[in-house]
Amino acid sequence: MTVEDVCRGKLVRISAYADLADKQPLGVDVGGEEVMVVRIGDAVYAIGNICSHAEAWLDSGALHPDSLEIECPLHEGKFDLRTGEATALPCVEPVKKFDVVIDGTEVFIVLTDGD
Amino acid sequence: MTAQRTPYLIIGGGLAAASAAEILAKKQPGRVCLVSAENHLPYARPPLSKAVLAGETAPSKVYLKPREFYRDKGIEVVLGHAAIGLNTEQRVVRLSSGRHMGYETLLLATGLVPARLDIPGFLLPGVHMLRNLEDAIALRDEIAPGRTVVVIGGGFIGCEVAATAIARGAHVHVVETDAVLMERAVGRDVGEILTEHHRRVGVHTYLRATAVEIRGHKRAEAVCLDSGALLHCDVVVVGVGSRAATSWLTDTSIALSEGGIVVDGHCRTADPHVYAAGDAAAAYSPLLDQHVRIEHESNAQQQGALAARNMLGGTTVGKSLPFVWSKQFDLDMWCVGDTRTYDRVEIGGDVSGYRFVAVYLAQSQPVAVLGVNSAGLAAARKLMRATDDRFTVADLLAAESEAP
Repeated sequence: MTVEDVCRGKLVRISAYADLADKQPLGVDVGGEEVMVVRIGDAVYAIGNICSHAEAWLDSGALHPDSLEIECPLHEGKFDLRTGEATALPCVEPVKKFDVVIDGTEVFIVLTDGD
Repeated sequence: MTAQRTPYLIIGGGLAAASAAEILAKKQPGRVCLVSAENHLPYARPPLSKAVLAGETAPSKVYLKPREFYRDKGIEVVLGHAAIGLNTEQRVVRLSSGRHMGYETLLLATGLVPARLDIPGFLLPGVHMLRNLEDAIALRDEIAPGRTVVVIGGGFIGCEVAATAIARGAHVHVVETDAVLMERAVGRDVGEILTEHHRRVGVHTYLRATAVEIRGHKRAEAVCLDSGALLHCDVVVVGVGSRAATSWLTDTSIALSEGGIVVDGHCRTADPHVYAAGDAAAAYSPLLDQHVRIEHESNAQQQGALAARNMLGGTTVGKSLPFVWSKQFDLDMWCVGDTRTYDRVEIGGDVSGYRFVAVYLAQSQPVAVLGVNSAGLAAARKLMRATDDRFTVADLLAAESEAP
């Protein structure tokens, strides 16, 4: 993520930083799009909240902080929190990955034209 | 908690109920109570007809979350209690034990009960249905090499049981009233392909056949068909559908549609303080122009999560496409969309090798896509959601071949 990326996109506030409990994934409805946001220590990640396999909501799944993955609550597939890539079957297709910007007490994601 | 209202009361103990409980407790720990009629913590149902029935997975492995999870999140769990009455004005649920539970917001996620067969001998020992964990354990212990299993009902459940029983060395007969297996779910053409496959791997099929009696002295020994055929057996499995057990809601303000609890796009019922989710909930389908229940696992997880989000003040509307999957023998199948109404099916791929896709169309609009041993699920979803939504099997196979 570069400054140019951020300027090209639109910043959308998705949460207060204080509302992100450590290692507690949260699902947020961003204008009709489901986004999963999670804070691990000082890092905040945001990816699409709908599993690309059976469309379960990922924020209910088990978080794997050591490998930075979220596990789908239905069939144990996994996604990389940094990239949205599927890292375990039966998931194959990635979910969307969002750049996160933290401005003081607020957490934003960057929405680009494609979103 | 009987003297004061439970802030978030969930009646139900399956996937929808557990999904909702988790999301509610994240924002409102200590204010959530889940009341299940079963004597188990919430567990996953799909393994019951597969790995649990096969004896490959211990029953203890199907629980969605361990006991500590509910304790740590401040979710009170009450097991073994069914809800038998509801007063929406006073906001009180009455349980079978006599206990009254007041609520601020209520979620009904009571699931289904298997449909019964109204024929003589249905109550004989050795006749099984398969809905809950006890059913799966009891049936598992009856299936063994050399035993003869008669399955009445050739839908997904019946076919999964048949597949598991064959894998365990049993002799299997499936009795089905339709012309092919799984006709209701996949239609005649695809059903014919799958039926042929199952026959080839050893399932004896009796199609356009009705079981009229189960005979036996102390336990089931034979199933009589309307043709006069007599199928000797060691065990009978009945898988002829399910219904929502919602008669306890009949005289309330909660609207029902053929037993299903009517909900809007937010999973809210006719009462603003009552939501419903999962197998028992009936949402409006524009395609079918009526409220329909979706009996699939993904729907239970999605609606449970969605209902919880909105019970917390959200306004999220459900947007997922219906999705069902099944594993039978070496067939891995999925279906996205709704196959309850269509006028044409296009099948493409390697049918004889059982690696194919089928597109179901209603007035040239694709309404569902089914895949058997296919990598085209993502492509199917993308195409089903495309605004220019006319596509053919050829488009799908082209996209599938580009899949990773």
